[in-house]
Amino acid sequence: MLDRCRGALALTAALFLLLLAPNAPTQAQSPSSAPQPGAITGRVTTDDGKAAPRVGVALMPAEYQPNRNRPVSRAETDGDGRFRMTNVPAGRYRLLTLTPAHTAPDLRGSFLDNGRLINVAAGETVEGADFVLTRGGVITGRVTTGDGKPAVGERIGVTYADRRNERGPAASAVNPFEWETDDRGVYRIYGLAPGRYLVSVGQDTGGGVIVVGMASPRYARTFHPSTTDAAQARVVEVSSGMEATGVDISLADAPKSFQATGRIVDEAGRPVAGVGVAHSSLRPDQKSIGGWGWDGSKSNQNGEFVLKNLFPGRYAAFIVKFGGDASPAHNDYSEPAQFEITDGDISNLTIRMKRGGSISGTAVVEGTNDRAVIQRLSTLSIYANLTPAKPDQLGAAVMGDNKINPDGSFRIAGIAPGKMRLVVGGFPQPKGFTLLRVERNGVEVPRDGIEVGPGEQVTGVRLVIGYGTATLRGQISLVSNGQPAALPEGVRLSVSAARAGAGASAANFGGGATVDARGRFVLEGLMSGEYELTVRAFAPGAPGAQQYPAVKQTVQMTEGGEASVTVVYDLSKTTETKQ
Amino acid sequence: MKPSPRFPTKPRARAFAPALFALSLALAPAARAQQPARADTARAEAAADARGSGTITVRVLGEDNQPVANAVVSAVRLGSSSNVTNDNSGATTGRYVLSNLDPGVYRVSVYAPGFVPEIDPNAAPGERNLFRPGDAASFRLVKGGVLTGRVTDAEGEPAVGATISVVRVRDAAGRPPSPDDFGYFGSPQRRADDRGVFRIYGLQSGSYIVRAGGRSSMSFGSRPSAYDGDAATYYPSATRDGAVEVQVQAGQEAADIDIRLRGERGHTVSGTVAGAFGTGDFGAAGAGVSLRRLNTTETEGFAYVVGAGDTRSFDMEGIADGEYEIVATSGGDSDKGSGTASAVQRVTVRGADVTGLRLSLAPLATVAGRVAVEPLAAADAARPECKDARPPALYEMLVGATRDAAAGESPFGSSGTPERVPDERGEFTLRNLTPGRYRLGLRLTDDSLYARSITQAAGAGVPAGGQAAPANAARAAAAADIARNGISVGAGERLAGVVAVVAQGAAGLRGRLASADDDTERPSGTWRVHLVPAEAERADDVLRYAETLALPDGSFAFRNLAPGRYHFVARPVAEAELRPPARQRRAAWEAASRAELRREAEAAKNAVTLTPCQRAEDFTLRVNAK
Repeated sequence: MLDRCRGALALTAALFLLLLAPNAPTQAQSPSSAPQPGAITGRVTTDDGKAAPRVGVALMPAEYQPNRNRPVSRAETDGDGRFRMTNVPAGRYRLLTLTPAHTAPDLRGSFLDNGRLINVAAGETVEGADFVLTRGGVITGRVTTGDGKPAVGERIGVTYADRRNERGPAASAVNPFEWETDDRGVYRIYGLAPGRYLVSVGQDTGGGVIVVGMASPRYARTFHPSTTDAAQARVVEVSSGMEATGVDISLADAPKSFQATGRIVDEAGRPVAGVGVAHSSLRPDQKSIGGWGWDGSKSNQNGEFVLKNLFPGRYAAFIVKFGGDASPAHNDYSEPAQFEITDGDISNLTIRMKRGGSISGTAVVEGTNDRAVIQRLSTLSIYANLTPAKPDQLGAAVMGDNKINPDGSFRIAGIAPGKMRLVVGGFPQPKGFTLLRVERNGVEVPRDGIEVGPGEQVTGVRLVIGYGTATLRGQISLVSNGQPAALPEGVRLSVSAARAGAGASAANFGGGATVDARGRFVLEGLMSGEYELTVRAFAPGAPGAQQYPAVKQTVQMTEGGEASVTVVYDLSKTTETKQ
Repeated sequence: MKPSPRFPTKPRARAFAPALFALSLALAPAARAQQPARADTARAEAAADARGSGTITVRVLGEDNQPVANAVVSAVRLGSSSNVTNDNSGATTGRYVLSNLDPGVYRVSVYAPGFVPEIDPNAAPGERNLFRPGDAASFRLVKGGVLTGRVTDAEGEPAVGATISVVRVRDAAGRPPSPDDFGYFGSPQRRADDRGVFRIYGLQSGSYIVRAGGRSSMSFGSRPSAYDGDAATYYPSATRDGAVEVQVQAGQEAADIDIRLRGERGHTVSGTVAGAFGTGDFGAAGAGVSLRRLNTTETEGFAYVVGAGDTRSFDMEGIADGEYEIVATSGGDSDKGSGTASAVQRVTVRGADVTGLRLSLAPLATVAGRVAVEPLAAADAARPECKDARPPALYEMLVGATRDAAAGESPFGSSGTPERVPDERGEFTLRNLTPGRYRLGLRLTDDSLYARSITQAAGAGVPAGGQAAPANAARAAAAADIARNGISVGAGERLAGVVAVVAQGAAGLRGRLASADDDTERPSGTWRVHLVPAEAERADDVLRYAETLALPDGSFAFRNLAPGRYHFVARPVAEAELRPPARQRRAAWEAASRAELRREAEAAKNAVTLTPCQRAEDFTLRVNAK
């Protein structure tokens, strides 16, 4: 249920955005507005060959755009199943039918990027965007607690029975976050592709997953009909248009959880109030984070904190530094408190805050005097990735936006000792900007970053940023054993472009693109010069799949120009099978 | 459930101690001189208290007196936007512990999927569920109401994936829900399944409107639905104006709420957000853009805008023809954060898309000051009614600002009504005020206190940027009575020098309304009871005026009253007065309406004299309900 309370929802949304921000800004470029709009036509039929009338078809931006989460264009099929979208600006899109009760071949594992990739050139009419719909299957049942009462608002997990190493939910056009029981304990999942599934409720509490706040797990993961052992789970067979009923689950009792309490103190041992405390589960080597979470609670005026819902295992507690300058921990980092929960609560933990180091300097744009471009520097963020000197230095990440000031200056504070790699980006990624190199006192820093000693204030760092407006349009020609070929089911192609002569500290966030169903791709915001293209096939969500070789090709770009390229990709050159 | 205990039976002396220590600094020098011994004792107690931390224990049971699965208990400290404590560890015992609480007054709430807390309709919503560390709270959960039906498209086919949402438009007593009605969480939303069936559960009793199709706030990254671009259809098959209200009772099911979609294309409202994002726990990341139906609290569109420069666009689809307000807000979500917001813009959608809106974020204003406490005069302290008077705690004194919107101006502030408790020095800063006129007020959660005065010292205004303001005429007047005149703030302005004086020895009064014809009859309709100062020299002392809405059973209660003589006035309340923008206005704000109240009061000849610390009970106020 998404409406637990406004606060929780806002928190979740904010966390989601923050989590996305440092990692996700790949190529969220908006479809450019072109003077000549294009068009897309196609036909939707059902798997018995009949036309599918009055089916909604939507064109979404190819990459998730937080500011525009709605279709660029919509159409509805006519009596013969045909649709036509006009006024389509040039750009990269996902085309999908709005038929959640049906499955289509373009459904992928993630509900976020469903749809068929289509790159539309200015003025182009894309024909033959056809879809064949198959009525999905339904799984329905009732979930009860140990005492026979309905389990209300419990999230249902549906996973492939025969692909157990896939952690994600089964593919469906429905957001799996909406799969949950109602007030009677009843659930109904529809739009499932024919197949064999496992159905479960509850959380896997042993996998290093940290769930905090209102959504904390109460039940151990229990499979239909009533087992916590996946090997004992009963497989549910689903066929097209059929309903699997009575898929009931009787939940095992909630596992007992415990709490840990402690204090946050500064270097002088004084309590620190108003600081958020997050926790992470430790893997057996105790060096890495198995996921971390924060429920939004902060230390009280005595510096005290409490962490709840802990299952037996090893953990580390550390401070979180949201809020930028407003955070009391802005200039600090913490030495985490490690602890183990066995069969009881833990108390008297101490998290020590330490004065962190800082990195400051200026960002400059190379190769342009265009004031409008230079002014846009302050729209970029600096993402700071720390490799801590102490491997158990958990939670040392410098969270939040590190902004570039209008005069180009920047400062990142509260850094634990270690090597800090700086990358420039934004969410969404501002078009055309590339980090060319990072210099310290005129010398390029190594790829693994700038060494920051305990409390060291590093100054004189220069971020040299390039700006380009060139566009590269590409076509991938697929062959296998010398013959034209098609991509195997579930396999996709990606393209990345690296500028020749880029330094070790360079980072190009905007240099990649996915290839559409017709083998086309577009790379925008490139600078002048030589680029090396790398084309690679991959099978998302299938770790056991075949590994394909990378194909490289160079292209020459001129400032503001447009170039096109054809890359031959030989599918028969499979190199290895990755396990 | 009983009305929440306003006065817990457990003595709260320890909980008060740290605040009293603080208070000794805030007291006027004269007051401090009077009470040196008390302050010293308080200091010692404060030190003792600092070693422990506060706990509120909460018992949560269902109708069968058994624990309710998945219940979560939360406490929010009044006057502190980001101080939230949760506990969900009582699934098997029904016993929850909210621990590590700093001294303060907390609003405790309980959530369990499918259930709602049992609410006494005759308890004032704003006063429910307030507790202090050391208290024990108890909640009873009952099964929430259910709304279920089927959504079909214009051709009668199931509208698979259409978004269904409900808005509670009346409470169980048939009144517009109070903004303080915390027994209800947001507006639940679901999607129609492959048969077009939807089921929304866990609803508090009341009347709801049900909407299908149109924009979806569920779709944070999810696949769009075929109906998102349509204007919403309201049950049974209407636009918003023709929406039929559905009555829902907790524990019961309203079935066959079938909706036939109208299939009318909605319009798009789009534009850009300029200016700097605010700061806060989640600030600097982006700005929220809300499109609200004019003069309601119904949000018709929401977008979260991130990024920078020309990429900061928003784009809401499925908007029906109508009058709206749009505003962008950013940051300000922590006690220290500074928010920014755009001006509220009026948007008319009439048969076409609205594009090119530009919402410019500007710094919000702050108003700073301090709270001073006037102790009980020696003669009053000797009164038997005052013998239990406790040292007041600063955290029981919430300072707030309410928008005093001129006619035609949006009543909405950007971040609701900010309310703050003073710090240990008695100082407060109200943040995130959108430009405009405000009324400062004190919400006193301790019944022994009343608001004596709220003034602003001369020349205390500091504009944004920190330079001293050229003294303007209004501010140059010595200690302006801003309780009477209100206070105006400009974008980014930082006003200071507000002094709110709180006095001890407040009186209280409880009574009930009766029909003029029959003493045992409760007059029909909704009534508001006003207290009007009888003394002529108090005629313009706005803080001496009080008003309260009589509860559905006809009872009414006044707390935090200055001792003195008052006239009663009871007025019937039209429904429009309970909805925005009228509902936040007070009759005493304007000189003309004060004069009208006084005329009415003197004619009614219903007066009472309240002495310090008096708790007057059992008043019967007869009204002519015809």
